[in-house]
Amino acid sequence: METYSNSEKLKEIKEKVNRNCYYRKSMRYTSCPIQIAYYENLLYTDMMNALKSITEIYRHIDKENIKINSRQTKEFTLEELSNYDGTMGKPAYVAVNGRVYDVSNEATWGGASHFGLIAGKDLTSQFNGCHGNLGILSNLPKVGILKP
Amino acid sequence: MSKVITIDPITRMSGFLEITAKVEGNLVIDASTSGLLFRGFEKMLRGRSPLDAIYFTERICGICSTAHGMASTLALEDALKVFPNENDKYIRDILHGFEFLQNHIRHFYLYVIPSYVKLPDIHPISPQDSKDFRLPNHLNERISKNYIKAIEYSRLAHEGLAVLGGKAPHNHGIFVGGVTVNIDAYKLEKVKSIISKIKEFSNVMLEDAYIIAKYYPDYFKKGITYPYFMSYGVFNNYHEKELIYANPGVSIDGKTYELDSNKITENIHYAWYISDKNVKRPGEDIEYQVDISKKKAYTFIKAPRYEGLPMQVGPLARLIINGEYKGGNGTMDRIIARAIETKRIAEIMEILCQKVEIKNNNQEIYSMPDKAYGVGLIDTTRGALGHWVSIENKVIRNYDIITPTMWNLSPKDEKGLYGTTEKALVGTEVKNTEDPIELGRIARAFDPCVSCATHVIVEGREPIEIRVL
Amino acid sequence: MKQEIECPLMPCKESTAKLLSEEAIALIREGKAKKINAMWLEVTGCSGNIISFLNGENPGLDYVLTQLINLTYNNSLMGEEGEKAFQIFLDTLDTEFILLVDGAVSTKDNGLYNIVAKHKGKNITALEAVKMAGEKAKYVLAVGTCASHGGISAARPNPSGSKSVKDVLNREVIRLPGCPCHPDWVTGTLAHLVAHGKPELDSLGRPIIFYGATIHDSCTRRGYFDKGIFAKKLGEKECMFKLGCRGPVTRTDCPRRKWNGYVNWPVEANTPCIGCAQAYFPDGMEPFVRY
Repeated sequence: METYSNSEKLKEIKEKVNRNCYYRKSMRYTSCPIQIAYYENLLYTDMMNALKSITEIYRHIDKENIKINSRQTKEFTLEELSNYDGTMGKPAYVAVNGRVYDVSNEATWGGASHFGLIAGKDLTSQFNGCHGNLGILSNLPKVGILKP
Repeated sequence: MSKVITIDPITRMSGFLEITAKVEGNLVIDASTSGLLFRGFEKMLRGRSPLDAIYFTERICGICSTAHGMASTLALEDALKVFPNENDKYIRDILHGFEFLQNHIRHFYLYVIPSYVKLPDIHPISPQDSKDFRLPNHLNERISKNYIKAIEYSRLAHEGLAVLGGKAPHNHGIFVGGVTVNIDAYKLEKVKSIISKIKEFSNVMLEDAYIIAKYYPDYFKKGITYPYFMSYGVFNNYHEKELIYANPGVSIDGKTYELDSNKITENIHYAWYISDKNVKRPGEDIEYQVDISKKKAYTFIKAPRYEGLPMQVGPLARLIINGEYKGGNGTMDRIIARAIETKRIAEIMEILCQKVEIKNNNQEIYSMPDKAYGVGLIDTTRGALGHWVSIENKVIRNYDIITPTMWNLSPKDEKGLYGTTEKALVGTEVKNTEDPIELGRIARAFDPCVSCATHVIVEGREPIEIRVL
Repeated sequence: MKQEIECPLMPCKESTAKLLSEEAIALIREGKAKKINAMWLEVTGCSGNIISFLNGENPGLDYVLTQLINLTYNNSLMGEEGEKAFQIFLDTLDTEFILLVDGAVSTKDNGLYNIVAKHKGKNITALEAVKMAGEKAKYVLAVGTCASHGGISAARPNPSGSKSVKDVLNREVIRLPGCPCHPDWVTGTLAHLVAHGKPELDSLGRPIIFYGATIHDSCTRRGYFDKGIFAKKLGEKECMFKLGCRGPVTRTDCPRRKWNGYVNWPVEANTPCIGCAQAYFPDGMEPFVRY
């Protein structure tokens, strides 16, 4: 519903831009300074209104994105997670400390495997036994949480 | 009065070999060859992804790594029922052929020649401290110069391998389904130019082999062993019959028979292993334990037998079975056969290059079955190489390897039959027991590779002195 | 948050193995550097590194042996055999020499799984030989992944009890991993030792000239990786990251230097890198191919 009003707003902006062309043409065909000033004022008002509409559209898109992101705190069961093992073009997901991370493009996870470990599993104990430093995980894209 | 001679290390070979010979008067009356390196590849391979075996088994040996890559690929293709097409088989055989060329040139010049030719004193190649160098000066010089050239030509052979396989040794490029390279006109031309250079050199090498034979003719009679030869076949899997080099077969007492790989057994009687079964068939999943304290055992090499007979494998075996060599079964025959084979293989590779079409490879995605069994048998640089793989739960359950050197450098079996090289040493006349140069010469002619032969795994216990005869 | 990191290879880009060797040989001729003794000890391995060394081109083997070092002992090349051969080993111990170890060191049962010689009736194990020579050598080079980190000789379950050279010697060891080690890496390091002493090493003891950057850093298929275009099986021309390529975690200069006369390297043979120079090869680098 709100996207509908977004495209209405964009239509309005397009009409304003078209009108601007007419105003500028009119300005060229007159030498009367009062008329020129009048058209300039119209142009300015249209431009400010258009900018306002554009800002509103941006804010709206941002809000939508945040909603989509928060809606995507997907919960994975261990069985669902095992599908994301990186084979045959599937994404490679790994769970550590209850959070599910996407390691599909992580350099040390070539072939969705990492020093003998395979993606699609809960690797909390292996991670804590080897790294123990959660900082490494902060750069990985998070795709959800492990169903408790 | 008998004397025991031990030579350890036998240098100028791949791995660690010890020869022990009991000499009475000047005649060797008893001999044993011991492989003294153990790493345990068969046990390491358990539980690994089957496709990894190709690269893994290559590391069994540095001078014949392509051979293991080939055998492993053939075993996996047998297990997965994958059949490469003719073009890929040609390219694969060219790759394999380069390994032959590299090995034979290096074996002849770097491993064998220093025992017959007084090379210039460039450490560590300085001549042996022996009185038995018979070549006149000008021939000595000729072969010394060719030694230097051999370094370049063998290097070139590996360059040809790398053009198709990425790097050498331990190449890539050979994989289930054929090859991974997309052959193009440039690669093919480069490979052809390298082959033609090496083919020219192989003529020089054959001449040098005949020169050595002329001045050391007694070596046609030294090192004679059982008249049992075996070959798994190589450069033979083509539609065109005239391309075939060596078909699988055995030759016993001068008669040729078809090869039946079910007649192959492995025997651990005189090797440092214990098991429920002393004799087993390759591919049988039977656990071995190492035991260095085992009485009478003297080597890490198991004793393979064909129908109970110790077989000889290698260039001489191939050329006798395919009828191209009509000579004898002595040390010099082995050396000459290897030189003849180098030239033959270069010729075959040239023909294969003409047959190769510029086509893309046929790689696919290979999924592992839950259970499978495959055998890869191929003759390679040193002789008959076999890989037996069984897959369970999509990983390797059991992997057996019988290398050519296991055949040639085998110890005695439970019947007391000497291994092939041991038999070759027994009966040799050693002119000077302080300088038993004959023994090393005889052993090296078999082109032993102990890195290959002693890959079995063992769990050791108390260390024990190796008993000298 | 961008960090300005200076490429560790900038100063090294000028020094190729060939240049280093020529420099070293010139210094030897001028008497400013000595042609030092060297021993290449093959132990628990496949001897692939000496074969790779024989494949050296710039400079080649004959050049190295005649001009750069005085290699007194090597199981594959030396003329002598038996006791006389091992005597050369013992004689070299009393001089100044560089020790190159090719292969891991088997320690099971006191090293009896790998006997390198018999001296006066007694077995000399690889472990003993490495200790004897390692303690007296001026420099110790661990050539190949087995010598540097254990490699395939120490692969699970490590039946021979193989260890890296550093684990059995109580001294500094220069590591030159690679399966096999590229001949240029060996020759270049030798030449550097002869002419300038120890090269700059990283935290694992590897010369930065050769091991400073990862394969991924200069891979010929990096463009495909960056654009997310991946091969689905072997034999294709795109990035093989999704198939298990270990380029991102392996430090060597294979993509630039290439192999065997600089003609090719595994990735351009359309197979992924298997990380053969990585410390955890092979167990940590498997599976090599995963579809």
